[in-house]
Amino acid sequence: MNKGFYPYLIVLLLLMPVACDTNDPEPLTGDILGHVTLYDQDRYVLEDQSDVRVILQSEDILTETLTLPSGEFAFLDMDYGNYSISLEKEGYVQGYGQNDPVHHLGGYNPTRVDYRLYEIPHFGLEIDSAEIEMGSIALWLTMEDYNRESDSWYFFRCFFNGSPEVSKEAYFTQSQGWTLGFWIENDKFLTFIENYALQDIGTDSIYICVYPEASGQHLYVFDPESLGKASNVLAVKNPFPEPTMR
Amino acid sequence: MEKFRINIPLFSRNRRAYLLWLVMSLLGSCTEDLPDPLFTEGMIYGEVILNDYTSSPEDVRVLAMGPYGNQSTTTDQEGDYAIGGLGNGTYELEFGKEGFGTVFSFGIQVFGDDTLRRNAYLYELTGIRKLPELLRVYTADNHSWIEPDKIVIPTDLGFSPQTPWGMRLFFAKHPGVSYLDFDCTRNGQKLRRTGYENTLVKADNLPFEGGEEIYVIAYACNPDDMGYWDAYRGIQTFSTLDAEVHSQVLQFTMPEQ
Repeated sequence: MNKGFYPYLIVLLLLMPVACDTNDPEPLTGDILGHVTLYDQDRYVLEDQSDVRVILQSEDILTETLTLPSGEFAFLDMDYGNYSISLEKEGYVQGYGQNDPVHHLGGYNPTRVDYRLYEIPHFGLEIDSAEIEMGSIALWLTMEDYNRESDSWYFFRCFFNGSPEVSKEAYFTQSQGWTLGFWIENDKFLTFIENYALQDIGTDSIYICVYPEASGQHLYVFDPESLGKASNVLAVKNPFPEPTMR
Repeated sequence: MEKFRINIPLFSRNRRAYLLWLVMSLLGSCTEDLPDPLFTEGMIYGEVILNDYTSSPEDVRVLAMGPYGNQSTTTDQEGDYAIGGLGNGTYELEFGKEGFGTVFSFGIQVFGDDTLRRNAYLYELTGIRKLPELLRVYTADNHSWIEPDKIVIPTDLGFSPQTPWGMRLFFAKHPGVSYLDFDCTRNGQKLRRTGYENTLVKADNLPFEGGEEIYVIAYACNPDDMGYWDAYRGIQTFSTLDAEVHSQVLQFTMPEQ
């Protein structure tokens, strides 16, 4: 065998393991793709979902983008890691529990996220009358500036206080309520909420005020930004003038 | 004075034999054969419609019960059926399909070569195990928003759009009100098994005078079930009503008109 052949053979043998290694190195970056759905106060999806400000943040990065009319947005070639994403659009709030961190692994498969924004309601609520029996409160409400054709829920937040200064900033206790299923006739609703903390107010009268509330909020925890315009204040005789012993 | 007595030899000699003859005669009279019809050219036909609009109307059992016995058939893919060869007489039809309330049609009189059409609507059974509790009755006396001939009853139903429920209300002027003894009945308005939920039960156009004490009870029932006339009982009957699943009886005073 020709001696000149051996160097080629050695080079060939050295190259073979390299050629056999088909595992490409794992990329450390990847795309974060998302979609935002905008709902109006009547829970209809908006045709134009553009111009929602999407802010992506980690320990090292702070960047933002705007949604397309389709509601889509993208952050390309982002390093793997944990991010928080917050959304901003005037007149809209996020639903409760949508602020979980985004675990972005990177790689060829993009990380996909999905969000909803709800319009801060502008429908009007007025309290016609109320009855308190034990922990159940019956509220007779009139509504205006809402879509009567909609079968959707309309939420409100009810605040109670022992003084006439009752509002989302000044209250003893609060409860969430909704109008679905409580339709009496056009614009008139009889709704029921439960709140056993009323027994601890201890005044002769309980003052009640309601606010329209955006959809997607928590039953017990409210976001003041999600509330619309306050109703009238109604005084109701307190059936428990003495606070309960605990 | 001598007692009047019929002297039949068999009576006096063998009372057991006489009793046996009597029993046999009675039994014989009970096993009378059904008569044969003189003509067999009558026919009842029609269509069965299932109210859920998703199930196939095929294979609904149709049973014709008449003076010459029973005849049965099943519906085809379109829900159509026909029972021919019927003799003169009065028939009743029974329509049944699993998962749906059984519906009857009474008093169908066939004569000669009559060809009679009888359609039937079958309503899906609700499968409700427990009715929501009726909490109280609101009337015009409780709140100015309610018309004098209407009532509104809140229930304890919790939030669950998929909760299968529906109810029918029965009203009477006595506390023993039931689906068998009532003055009027109303469907709980807008109650649906899925999707649309209503936690208020409402009824209107109640045919009572102001000041009358009225009693109301609710039974589990498909809210779409409009019922059929039961000629034997003489009342409107609801095939999907579950007599075992009902509310308590509530009392209220009819407001003055």
